[in-house]
Amino acid sequence: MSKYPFHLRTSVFLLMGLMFLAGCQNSPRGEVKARDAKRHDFSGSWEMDFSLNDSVDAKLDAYFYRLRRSMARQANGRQMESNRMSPINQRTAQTVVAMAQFVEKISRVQVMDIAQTVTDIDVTREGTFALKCHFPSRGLQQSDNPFATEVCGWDGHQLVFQLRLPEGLVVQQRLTLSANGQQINVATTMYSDQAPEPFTLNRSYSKFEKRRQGYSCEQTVEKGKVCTLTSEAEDERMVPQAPKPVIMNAD
Amino acid sequence: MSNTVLWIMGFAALLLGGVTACTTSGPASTTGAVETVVVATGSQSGAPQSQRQTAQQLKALPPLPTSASASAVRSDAQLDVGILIFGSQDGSDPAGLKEQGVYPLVRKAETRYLPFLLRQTLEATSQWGAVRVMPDAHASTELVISGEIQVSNGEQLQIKILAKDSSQRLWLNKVYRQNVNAAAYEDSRVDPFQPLFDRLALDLKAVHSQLTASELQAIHQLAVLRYGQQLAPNAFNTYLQTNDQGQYVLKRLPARNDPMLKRVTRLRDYEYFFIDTVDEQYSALFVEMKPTYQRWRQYSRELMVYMRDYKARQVGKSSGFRRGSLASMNEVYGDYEWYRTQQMNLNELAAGFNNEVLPTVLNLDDNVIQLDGNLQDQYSQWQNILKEIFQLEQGEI
Repeated sequence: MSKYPFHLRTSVFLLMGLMFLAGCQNSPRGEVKARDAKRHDFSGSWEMDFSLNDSVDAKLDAYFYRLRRSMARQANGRQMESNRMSPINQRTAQTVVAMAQFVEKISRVQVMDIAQTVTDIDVTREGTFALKCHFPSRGLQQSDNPFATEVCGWDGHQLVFQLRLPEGLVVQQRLTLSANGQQINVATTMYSDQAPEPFTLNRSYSKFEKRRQGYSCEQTVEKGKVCTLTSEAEDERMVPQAPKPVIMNAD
Repeated sequence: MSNTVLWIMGFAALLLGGVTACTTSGPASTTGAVETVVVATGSQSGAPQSQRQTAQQLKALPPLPTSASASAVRSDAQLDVGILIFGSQDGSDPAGLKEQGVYPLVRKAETRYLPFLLRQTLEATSQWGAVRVMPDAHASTELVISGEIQVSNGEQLQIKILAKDSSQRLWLNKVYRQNVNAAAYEDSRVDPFQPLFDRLALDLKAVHSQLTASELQAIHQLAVLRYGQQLAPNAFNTYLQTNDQGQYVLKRLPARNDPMLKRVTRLRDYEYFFIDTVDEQYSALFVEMKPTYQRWRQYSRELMVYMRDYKARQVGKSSGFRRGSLASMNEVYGDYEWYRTQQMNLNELAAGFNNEVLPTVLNLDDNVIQLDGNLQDQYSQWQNILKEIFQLEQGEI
């Protein structure tokens, strides 16, 4: 028999558990630990495939279900026995819903054009700023500006863009290429120090051949923005089939 | 002393201080040996008034007396001015430059744009002879102005100006600085930093006005003789000497019909012929890039101001929204998105700055000569051609 009473042993055990959890809380949220780069070629034009997208409502339901389960486990199964789920703190619930709305809003991009070389990638997204990453060496690249800390690079075969924003917010976009190279999954994850778990929404994009019909614009000094109307047939005649860029693993 | 007297003295001091601040366009501080002239900003009280005063002072300058012999011939008081393409203080690391809001393509373009703006300002005063923008120093220039862009980000322009005449007398060695607000971009016909160039033109005129007629005449003579010295040092060294301050002084003058002097004068005209041809390129560049450059500076200024405001807001740290609320998320992300979009616009505009220089084709004594490379290279090629011609004409001495 132990010389310590049962309740003291339980308290010490609980305290250790809390300290462990606190330690987890102190580690930066959403920190990416990059695996060895296995660079895939993301280049091309991509349009959103709505049929494969996550449903925000379903993801939100699943989030709250997981949260209740986790809280119930923490409450030592009392609620489970009484067949009642733990109520979620209202403020937490509001934050989670806000996260879902926010992630849904920033992942509405319908068309992406990706240009990639051995050391750089430029993801031009319709209606918002481009995601750019320069990855000359191993590991992730970090840069700071007054508004955020940006981290990007290869995590195995996935390309990760992470924004560490003020107010305890982290927005992460993880691009994964399908085995046949015809689909890209963009998983947008948001971390908040006001929510117990991150919220993730997946958006799927299919490769498409951009028709060279329509307006092509470029900025010039002499005339400002100059746009010309081009046609598919004309382009096919004029432009020989460009060789596909070879993306090599430098690491 | 009565209260009334004290009050009057105080009012006079206040008035004097105010007038000084307006007419000298802000406090002039001295950094090391170089004086800094701060041109009043649009947001300072009395600044627009001060800017108007500077512009009016420039317009009110009396026209210089014209030559008695022919109106087409400039008078001795009119000096030819050569404005060199400005230099830039920035380092060569492109990533570091972008952090400071400096885009290398844009900076390269503005080293040509700003001298042209100065040229226009000086020409408008009718106080000078020919005002040329030059790719490199030219010994026969009567007044050479060189500049270095220290800061140019749409909100602030700071340039260091050095002006010397053909005797190497120092006219100006000052740093000019001006900050502008959004209102400065409202009238697209006027450059937002025109007051800085007006101030600079007034300072040059002030030095010019202090020179006597004989000093001005010596500047003309020294310019030709120094050019001759460059081509034929043995022949022209006898006319020149330097004093204790390193300035050139006339020892004696060649005869008016000296054949060597005639050749030198002819070659100098050829040299001006090249500079005037190149000048057309600068003029075209100036006209072409003006609207884009104006827009670029406006964007750049907005970005600078926004970032400063953002930093100030961060000090207070209170957005007013609950942490974790949608409004708070939108605000934090919105700031970042705005910054990135603005940078994208700047990049797109910067990519439009075309600094390609066309080959210069010149007709020299029925021979067509094509000069390639950048303008400094072209100028150097042209000078070598002229030196060869001179050597051929002169023969062995």
